[in-house]
Amino acid sequence: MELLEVKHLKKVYTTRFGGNKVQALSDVSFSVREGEFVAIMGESGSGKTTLLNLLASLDKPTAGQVVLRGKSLSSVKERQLAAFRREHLGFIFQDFNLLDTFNVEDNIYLPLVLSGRRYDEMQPRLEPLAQKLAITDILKKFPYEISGGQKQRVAAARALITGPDIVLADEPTGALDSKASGALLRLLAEVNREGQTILMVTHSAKAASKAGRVLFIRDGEVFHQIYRGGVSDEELYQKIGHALTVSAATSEERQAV
Amino acid sequence: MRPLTFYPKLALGNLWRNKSTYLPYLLACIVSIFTFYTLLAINMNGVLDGMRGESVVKSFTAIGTILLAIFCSILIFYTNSFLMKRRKKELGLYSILGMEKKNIAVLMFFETFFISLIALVLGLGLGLLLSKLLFWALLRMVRFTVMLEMPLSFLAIGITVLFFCAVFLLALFSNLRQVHLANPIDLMAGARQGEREPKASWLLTLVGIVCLGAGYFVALYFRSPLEVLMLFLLAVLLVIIGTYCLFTSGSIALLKLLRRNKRFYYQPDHFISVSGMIYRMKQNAAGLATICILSCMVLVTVSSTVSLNVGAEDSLEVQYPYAYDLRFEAPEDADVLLFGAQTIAAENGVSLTHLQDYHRRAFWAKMQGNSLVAAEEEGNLIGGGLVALLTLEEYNKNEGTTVSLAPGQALLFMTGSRYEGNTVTVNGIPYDVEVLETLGREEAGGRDIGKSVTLILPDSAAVDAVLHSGGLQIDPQRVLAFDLEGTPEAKAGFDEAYHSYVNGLHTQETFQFRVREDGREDWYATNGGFLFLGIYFGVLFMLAAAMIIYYKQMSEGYDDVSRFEILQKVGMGEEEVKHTINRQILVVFFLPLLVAVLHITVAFFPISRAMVIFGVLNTPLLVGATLLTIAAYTILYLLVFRQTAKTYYRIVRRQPS
Repeated sequence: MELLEVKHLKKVYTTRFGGNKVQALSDVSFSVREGEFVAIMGESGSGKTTLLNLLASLDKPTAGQVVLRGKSLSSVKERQLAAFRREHLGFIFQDFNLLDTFNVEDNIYLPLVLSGRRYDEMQPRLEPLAQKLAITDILKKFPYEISGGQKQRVAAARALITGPDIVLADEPTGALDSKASGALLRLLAEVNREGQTILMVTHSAKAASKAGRVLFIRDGEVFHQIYRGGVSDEELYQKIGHALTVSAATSEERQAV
Repeated sequence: MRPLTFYPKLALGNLWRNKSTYLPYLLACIVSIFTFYTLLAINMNGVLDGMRGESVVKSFTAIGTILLAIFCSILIFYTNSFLMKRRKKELGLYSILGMEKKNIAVLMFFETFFISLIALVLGLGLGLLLSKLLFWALLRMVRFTVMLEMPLSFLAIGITVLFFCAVFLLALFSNLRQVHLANPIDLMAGARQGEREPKASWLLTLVGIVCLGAGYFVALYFRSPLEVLMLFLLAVLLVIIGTYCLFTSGSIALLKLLRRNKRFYYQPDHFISVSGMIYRMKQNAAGLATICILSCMVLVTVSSTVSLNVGAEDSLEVQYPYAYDLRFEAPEDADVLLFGAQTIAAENGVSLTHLQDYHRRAFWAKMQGNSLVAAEEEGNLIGGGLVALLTLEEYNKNEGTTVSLAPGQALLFMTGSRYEGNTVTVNGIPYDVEVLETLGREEAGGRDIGKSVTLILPDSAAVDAVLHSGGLQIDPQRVLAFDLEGTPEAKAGFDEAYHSYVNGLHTQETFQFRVREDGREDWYATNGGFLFLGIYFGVLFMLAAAMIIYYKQMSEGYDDVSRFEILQKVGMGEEEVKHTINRQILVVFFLPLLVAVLHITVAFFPISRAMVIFGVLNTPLLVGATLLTIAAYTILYLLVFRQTAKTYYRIVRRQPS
């Protein structure tokens, strides 16, 4: 069964005074199966962030729908939306979005506390996760005391601790150096191997090459996709590079016409 | 070479472009300057000279000025740092675009210069104008017979200008230091460096406890009104220091304790509010303590003012049970004056009511148990008091009753303390007594300082017997007392006419003429200044408190925007956000109020003792006035709270994308 289905998604932004309409997504359809690691690639302005916002139910589509585990997001009531996000989705952001007011441990507990879980059941969840993400030593530190790579691993722990249906990652390596990026991607891949569904938006071919499937989005449409099909990261990286070159070429051709 | 006007122009432009951030800052500066100047001017310009209790009010205003100076500096630094945080990005951009630090410093100097200029001109202008207006309005409101002027005080203006220039300069230096130390990238990033988590200091806690304890002790220990007046200020200072220390260390300790309690801490509401409060507890504590102290000041000034006012009215009622009271050495004069009063009343369209007309013989007596023995000495007789004798006939006439007494029976009425027992022996003559609860307008019981007993005996022969057996030779004093009924204008007409009639009589020396209105005028003439200043300061402190509260929440709201944005992304709903904010503000708001109420409870004792000086002895009335003040202030506080919560919520709410 498909975990996530995106059907003919369309999003048109209207400027405040109703003047210009900007079409961010024209017609996007794809689906994600349970346990998949999907990367969505595209350049700036291709509609990646809009897509992610719609998936995260942070924004409403103009047309089409997003269905998670057979439940359409548009059928969730406004008041329950926050709780729905908390229960079913996990988020990793480019700029971490950790709270300065909490230490690392409490930052990770945040979604559990918001769901009203008891403290006794939080701790056992954290321990294995912290070990896996190598943040056991920094649990008592504050976000301003740790490095970017550590921050992103903490953010990952926060996304994973609720056991979400799907983790939505928005340019998770965008603010990291190459070493930290590599480490984080390896972790995501490992979490994915253990069964966690991940959907990652990125414009880094390196990051996308860790995924099981790569979707290419341009001008608000999915125009291509590559399955890993058992090849290594390097080969996938090559394939992605090729696809991007072709895309750039056709894009120029289209502009030229 | 750039023209000389380049930087001033750019600075003015910057201020204009950032007006939404600068406006609250400017407002804070203006209100600070306004309140500071007004208080200083009252202290310095001679308004108080010659007023009763001048020295007390002067030291009160002096302390107030010093406190205000501290509050204002804190407030301005606080708002300034908030301002800088929001402007760092812009300054970073200048830096990246190639402006040297030197040039940025010049730019910032001009910005500070203009802001200070505007604030000083408006603040002082407002101070001069509004204080006149406020004075005028208050004088109208309370109908003072004393005129208080609010003249210009150039010395006060000078001090205000110097003080605030110094504060603004210091703020500028701290801004320059920040810009100088930071590189453009940091500035661009908005420099969101984390604050270190504050530590609860045991020394601070100890100092706080000692100061607060000492302050409370001083307030509660000394009993004589004079001591109270002298030491009250010391107590106030100690309590203020104690409050600051305890708010700083105590609140951190308390919050950390809450955090350590996992069950409590890991609940949605507590989790976010407790951590948020720990995060900026240092600023918070100072702000909270300031709000607390200001609340105290409001409560103390207003409640003592109200007490003084209602207490004065009350003590007038006690001292002057009837509107007019005449006492005659020569009883036949009374007929003339009564006739005069009735004639003048008819002319002015008023009628005399509650007429009391009786003869009274009074002597000093020693009181031991149920025995009263005439004594030589007057004055401060321990265990003694005044005994007045009345006949039953006149009692019945005045009261409109038909009581009858057998020989050996009497009625007894006592003030100063309660009479125990049902017999009395007066100058050796025994009587069975019935104790009266009221006599005329007076009530039995312990409200007066001295004791006095009134005995109503069956007839004048019995009165003579008591006097004779005590070896006393007393001419009766005839008492005439009455109220008026009629329109206020008619009453005023009667009052004027009767005064001039009485003053024209040649028998003036042989009788006392006491009028309640005259007493009231006398009282306000001597104590009115206090009332007035009380209200004035109350309003001033309230303004300051409301502003600090509002500004504190506003600036924190802007700080919290990003925090709540993250929280909402992670999955916090609007309802939960609202709930959390309410809880957070609730704690922040009601902690100071709670402590202020505690302080005022303790302060009540010395205040009620000091009230004796003004002739206010009615303790239940003081309690009532204080409770009423607290209630009224709480309501005002709630209004500010609601408004603030609304504004705060508007600021942090996620912008619809």
